[in-house]
Amino acid sequence: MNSYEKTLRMLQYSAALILAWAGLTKFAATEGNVFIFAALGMEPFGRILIGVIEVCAAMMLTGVRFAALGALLGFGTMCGAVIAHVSILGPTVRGDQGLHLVLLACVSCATAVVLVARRRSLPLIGPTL
Amino acid sequence: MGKSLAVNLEAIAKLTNVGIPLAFLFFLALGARVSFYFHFATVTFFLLSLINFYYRHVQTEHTLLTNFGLVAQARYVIESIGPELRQYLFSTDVSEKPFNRIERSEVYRKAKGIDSSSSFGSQLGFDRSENKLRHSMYPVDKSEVEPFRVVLGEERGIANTYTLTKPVIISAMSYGALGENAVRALARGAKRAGIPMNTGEGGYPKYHLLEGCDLIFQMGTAKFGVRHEDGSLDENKLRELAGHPSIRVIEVKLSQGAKPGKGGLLPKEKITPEISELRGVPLDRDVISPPFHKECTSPAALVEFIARVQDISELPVGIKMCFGREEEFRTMIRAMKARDRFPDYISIDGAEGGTGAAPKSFMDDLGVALFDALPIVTGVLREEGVRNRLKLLCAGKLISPARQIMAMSLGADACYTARGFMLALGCIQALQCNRNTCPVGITTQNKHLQVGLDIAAKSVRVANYVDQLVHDHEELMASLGCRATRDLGPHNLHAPLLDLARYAA
Repeated sequence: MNSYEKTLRMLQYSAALILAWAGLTKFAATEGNVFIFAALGMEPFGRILIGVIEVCAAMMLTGVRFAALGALLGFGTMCGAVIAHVSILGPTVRGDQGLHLVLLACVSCATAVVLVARRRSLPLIGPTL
Repeated sequence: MGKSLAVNLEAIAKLTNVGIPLAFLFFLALGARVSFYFHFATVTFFLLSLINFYYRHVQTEHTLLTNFGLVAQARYVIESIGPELRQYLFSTDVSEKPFNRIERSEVYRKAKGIDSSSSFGSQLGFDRSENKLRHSMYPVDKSEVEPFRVVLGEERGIANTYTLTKPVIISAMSYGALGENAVRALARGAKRAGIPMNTGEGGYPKYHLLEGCDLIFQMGTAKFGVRHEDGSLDENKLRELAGHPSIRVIEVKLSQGAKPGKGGLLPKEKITPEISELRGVPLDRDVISPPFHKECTSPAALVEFIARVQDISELPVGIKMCFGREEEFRTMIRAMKARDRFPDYISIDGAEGGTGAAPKSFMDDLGVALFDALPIVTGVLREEGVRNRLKLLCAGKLISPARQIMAMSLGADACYTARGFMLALGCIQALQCNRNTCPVGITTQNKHLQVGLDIAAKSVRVANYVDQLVHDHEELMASLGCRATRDLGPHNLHAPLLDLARYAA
């Protein structure tokens, strides 16, 4: 495995770890998550749905074959999170000192890089990207 | 078609290119005002906008995408599933290549042992280009047809001759080209049917040997399994292999129909650590065998090499080649005459042959097709007075009994087929042999795809196919008025486009 591939794998695993943690805490209905999704008007269905998407994305990011699709799902979820912070939640959530935003930025960057690097393996549109 | 009925793609594309960002804004507003759930659509259209922007303003590879954006992507998506759509929905029963549905279905029926009669006339063409068998006004009773018997090596009077008792042989397919289950199903079926199987040039035939069938060990130009590191013949390894009780014949491959003039090609996608070890090749690149044996640089050297392999192995030794130039073939035969040493058989691989992965030009445009080559080969052997010094085998789309009888009428003693047996295993002609994605698990190393290929069940189909072929052979021979294959000749053929006079000469 060359250094380029190693870097991509590292980014995938980092994003997968954060996404898996975020998804599982949504299933666990932690106080913070319930607060956020109540503020968005999506509690509890939206919380569980987003949790499922995040866990799926995390699983896909642990391999190579579906990594691009996982990155697309992860990146899409992060786009939704950005909209939530900009439109409703604001930069900090219940005094988290911006932790959510930092994690959001990390996952967004990692998934964006993986998505661009592995775009050719996306189903249907991959060969023309 | 009137203008009003035509699809204005440009207008649709413009509408889409404007519509996608507008939809993004629309759902963004709905998400803000009505429900956050609308942002699922917001994000979707945002990503589509990015992709559309990339297609129209960044990439320069695809003109259609630059001009029309995402709408044009539909063309590529539909095109990518074109083979499936054509095969499932739109192709007629006689329009597919290399084997149409009628030909494939015939093999499937034989393999399943079910009735293959049809009614209301043939769907095949009857124009002047068709090859047909000529029946006799005086057919013989089927019981009068002699059992098939061809002895390889009898001309040299060697101790270890090999007798073919059925006119078909499983052609060369290596482990590597095929998966483990496919190799084992074929080998088990071969044992059940009492026919030999060619190992292909994949090195030590580990999986072919597991089922105990008779094997024709193929030595390709890279000599996998019997080579020194420099690619020359390792006599000790050959002697050891030839001593295995299941290995009954050695075949030296000079060239093959799928890519004449080029060595074998195993795409890197199909190279597992095990294949890498069996062949002694790296994992990370395509394995391309040299185009010729390094020992065979002239006709005399070729004959010397064949003699050497015969002496070391003490088995019948044949050569496999796709026919190219007549003068080169004649020179080779004359070199054999001069040395008074012949291979025990020559196998002519028609240019239409091809389970192997090959560059497109080689597959499409190189080599002589089997039915054109056979009369010339037979003619040269007769003209040189050596037809009785060796046997003639052949291959090239010989999946049906009639085509096999035609080949034998043109001089062949027995027939090889690879794709016939692949179809018997359940091949659906997905045309993915070179991608390691064979959906029926035959030409793939992917274990998940091989799961569905049940060795026991498929080996029965292989044996059924052979039994049905033999049955049809006997029926056809009786109709042709022939009691033995030696009675077959060009007089049995109506082949308007073939030079049969050459055979007769």
